[in-house]
Amino acid sequence: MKWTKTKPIKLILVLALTFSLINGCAKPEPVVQESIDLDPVKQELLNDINSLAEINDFEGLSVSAYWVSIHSHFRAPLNINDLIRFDRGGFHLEGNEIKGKLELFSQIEMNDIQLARIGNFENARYYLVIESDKDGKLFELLLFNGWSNMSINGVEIEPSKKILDAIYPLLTPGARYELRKYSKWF
Amino acid sequence: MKRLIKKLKLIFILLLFLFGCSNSVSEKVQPYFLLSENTCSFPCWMEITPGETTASEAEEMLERLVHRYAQKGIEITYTKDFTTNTYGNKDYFYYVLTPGSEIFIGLYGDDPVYEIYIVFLNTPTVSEFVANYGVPNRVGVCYTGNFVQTHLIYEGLRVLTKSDIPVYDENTKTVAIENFYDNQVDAVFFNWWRPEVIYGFTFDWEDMAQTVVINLDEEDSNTNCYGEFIP
Repeated sequence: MKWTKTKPIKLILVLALTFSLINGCAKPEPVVQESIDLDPVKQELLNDINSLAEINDFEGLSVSAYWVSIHSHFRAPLNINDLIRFDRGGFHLEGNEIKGKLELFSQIEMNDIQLARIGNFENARYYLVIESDKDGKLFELLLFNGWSNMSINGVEIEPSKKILDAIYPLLTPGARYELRKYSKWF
Repeated sequence: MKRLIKKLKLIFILLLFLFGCSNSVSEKVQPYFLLSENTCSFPCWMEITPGETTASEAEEMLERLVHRYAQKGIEITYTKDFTTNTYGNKDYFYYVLTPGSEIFIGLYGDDPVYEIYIVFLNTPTVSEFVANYGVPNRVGVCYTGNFVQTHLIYEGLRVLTKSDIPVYDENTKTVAIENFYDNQVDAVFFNWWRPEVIYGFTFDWEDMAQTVVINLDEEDSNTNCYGEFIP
């Protein structure tokens, strides 16, 4: 085989080009989470949250949010059904409208979930639910009056900014503005 | 000569691949340009002052803002939206979208604008923000029990940071602030009813830059506030 002077240069260029194509455009590797916290409740909650980012089929998937102002006062405490009944300015997304908006759920880590003592679930102000026709409710976020703890899938946890950040892409401007009133947590 | 041109072409293509993929979207403007290019003194923002500017005046200002930046090739859009309050009335707000930030301008009935909320979407770190926008007069610290919130305080402006700093030692009430500089700036908030924020402690930027931990239980004679610095 004849080995001219330009061949090594060409070979290096081709290798460099291949390398840049493979690495330059590749998606970053997902962070492998090393969990030393083995609390089964937290682990299950984390799995539920992280798995939202893995959803590829958006058929039959929906996101709904309902709220009343965090500053509003009522004679009686409100629960989820009250919020849905009031339905003031809520929104609903379906199917491909959700595509590309669940990715931040993959970034939630065990440290972002701190279980809280059971408090008062009867002062609900902001409710967001992600549902699947096939599997039912996948994610339920409930926020309360008075910047208390938040509830995810029925588990009360200390306020987590990262979880609020994760839902942010799903929200309409009105829903974002209302969520921002919980700015003590951002 | 032909070989040289061939080589140059190959190198050019290679460079395109190398830089085209990783930096496909170049930053045209800094995400906080709407602060540094403010046309009036805070809490007035772009000629809109909470508690003074009416809704129609605010819309005029926004229209001008859109045109002014369009001439610079920067797209700013705004819409008027509403949420319905508990009494069934509509609370209107302007939603302004700019490169790197979104802004909520709250209205209440026919009253003047009552708040302006600038949220950084492409959040720079505290270090980047200070390097580009300027050193804050003070750093405000709010101690809320398990966490410490830090705000950058400028003249008429306080910049909220994204993450609270956890208290890592419950007994000594100490917080490590070495991650403070990697914290991201989150938002700026102007309203008319709460112009001042009472902080638990305030520190000079230089002090924050030199310190590793703060003991929230001890008084620091140098700064005349609680929170002894432990270098």
